[in-house]
This record gives sequence, C-alpha cells and structure tokens, in this order.
Amino acid sequence: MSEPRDLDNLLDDDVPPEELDRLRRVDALLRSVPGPPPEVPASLSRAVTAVASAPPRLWTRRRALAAVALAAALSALFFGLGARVAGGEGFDERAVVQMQAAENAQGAAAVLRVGNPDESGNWPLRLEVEGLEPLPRGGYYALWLAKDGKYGATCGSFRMGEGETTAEWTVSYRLADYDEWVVTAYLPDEPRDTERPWLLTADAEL
Amino acid sequence: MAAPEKDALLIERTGRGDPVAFEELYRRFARPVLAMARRQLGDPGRAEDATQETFAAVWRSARSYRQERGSASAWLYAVARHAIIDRARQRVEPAVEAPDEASADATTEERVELSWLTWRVHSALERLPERERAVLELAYWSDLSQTEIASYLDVPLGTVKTRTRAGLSRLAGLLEEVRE
Repeated sequence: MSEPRDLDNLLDDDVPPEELDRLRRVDALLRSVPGPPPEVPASLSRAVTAVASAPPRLWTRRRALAAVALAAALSALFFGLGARVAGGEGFDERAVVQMQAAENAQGAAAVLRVGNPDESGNWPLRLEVEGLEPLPRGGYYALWLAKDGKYGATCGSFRMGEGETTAEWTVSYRLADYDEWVVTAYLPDEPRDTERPWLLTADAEL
Repeated sequence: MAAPEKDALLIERTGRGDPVAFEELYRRFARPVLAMARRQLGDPGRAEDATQETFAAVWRSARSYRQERGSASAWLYAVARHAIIDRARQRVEPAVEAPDEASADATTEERVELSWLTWRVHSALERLPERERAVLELAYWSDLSQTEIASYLDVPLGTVKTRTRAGLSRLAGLLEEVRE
C-alpha cells in the first residue's frame, strides 16, 4: 500500500501555521500505525450483544465460582486431568484478577490467578505479565499485598524477559486482611527508602 | 463530558449490569479490539473469538474497574491483550509473529509501545463522525488520491479536504484528551 499524499496535499492552502503544526503531529501518528481497523462482522456483534442479555446476577462471584467448579468437574470427568480452567491450565483457580496499569506503566497488562488454598492456608498465585520493560541487571519487580494504600506483605519477585512473563508463588497470608494487589519495581543500587510507584494494581477482594 | 470520562462512566454502568452501556462500549471499542486481535493472532476467526472473549470479560469484570487507578481505555486495552494472549496459547500451530507490523528486530518495549499507540489512535478514530473517519481511513490506508476519494464518496474534492482537516483536528483533540 502506498504512503498517503503529503499532508499539504490533503488540505486546502488556508490552514494557519499553528493549526498546521497540530495537524502534522496527528498526520505523523496516523502514518506510524497500521490500519485501518477491520469492520466488525454482524455475527460477532450479535454474539457479543448476547453476552449482556443474561441478567448480570448470573455473574456474581458465587455463581462464577460455581461455574469454575463445574468446568473443573466436567474437565476432570471427560479428560481425567483434574482441575483445569480456561487460561489457567494445570492451575486450580479460585479467582482471576485483572490488574490495571498505572499511568507510569501504560501498555503493561497482568492477570493474577489466585488458586485455592491448601489445608494449611497456603495460597498459590500465578502472575502473567506483559508490557513491563526488562530492568537493568540486578533489578526486579515484586508483587505485594497492600492495605489502605500502604505496602503490607510481599508475595514474590520476578524479572521480565522478552514478551510475557509468568511467575508463580505460594503465600500464607490471610488475603482478607489486605485490600489491594500491587506490582512495583526495584532498581539496582536504589536506597531502601526509595519511594516506589505502583505500576499495576487490582482489588484484593476475592 | 470528555471522552475518557465518558468511557469510564460506560464501564461503571456496565459493571452495574447496564446492557445499553455495554453495547455502547462495544460499539466504541470493537474495531480496535478486533484489529489488535487480528494483528497478533493472524487468523480472522480466532481474532473474532478473542474479541468476543474480550467483551465477555468486560461484562463480567467491569465492576472491578476503578477510574482512579487508570483510564478506561487502558483498562480495556489490558483486558483485550489478555483475551488475545489466552487465545494465542490455545493455538497448536506456530504463532504468527506480525505484532503491529513492527520490524522483526523490534524490542518487546517497542512492540508494546506501538501496540499501545495503535490502540489509542484506532480508539480515537472510532469517536469521529463517520464521514470524517471514512475520509481519513481512505486517505491514510488506501491507495486512493483525494480526487479518487471524492469520486468514491461522490462528494466534491473541496468537501474531502474540509472533512480531512476537520477529522485531523478533531483527532488531535481526542488524542490530547486521552494522553494517558
């Protein structure tokens, strides 16, 4: 596909210079991205609209957990593989938490899968992260539980490689004592009292 | 109401089970989600599945969205990326490595940046009036000249230029508004 004509050819001659500068920035953005986005097939729109036709109560946590349990049971029944749910193969999920990227980590995304605790109260965690930049040698990221906007308990650390990174830990805390999951970064040689911005956050309520 | 606030409100209403808000959200973001899924999965059918899963996840998890933690657009972007990643994991054949048309040696950071930029631009395009969006898409992503666009849309050349200017100007405002 050929490049679009120069911006000057796309516009009339009477555009004031200051407006032209602004339009040039958008012009450069449009030239830098692939596109255009495809038209959405009607069949897809119908399928998505149907999602919302079920009463929202259907998706309360209790029902969602029941659905997960049912999926696990059916999976075990048919495949003999034990608990297995979408996106978390081999991981007995109790909850899937979508973490939100903070302003300083735009483009990052993470899903935290919280497993069912064992008899002693150990909670398996699986964090799938993408879009955080690899840190210099010696640096790492850490997942924390926080309470009232303050760090509470550390859950584990990880380093980012190319693409997506998955890290797994087990924690023995009472998750109900905390209200937030947070991911922060530790750079090498930083003073201990460095104020660390939160890069990814999510409610800790299960 | 500014665009980011409107999107945040739509997610909050969706979280309360409002199907009208959900449909509006879908109308706003379906094309950018589908575009991202197609670029990353390669296969149109799988891309549609991932798009459907994205909005199913939005419907289920909109209650967890917190405006103070980040923009609605960024939240939707994250939900979409994960639905696409989940779908990519299920494929048996090798992944199609065509992320956002970045060069093969682009770093992860560069690919993520381009993916996010593309998302922002495509999401903003969805907010333009249809006649302005159509002119811009034809001008930037087709082989048509302005004269050919005028002929294709059956409008005078001057109208094409006017719409192009208006569309670019509106897009500039939207992108400044949602600078996240």
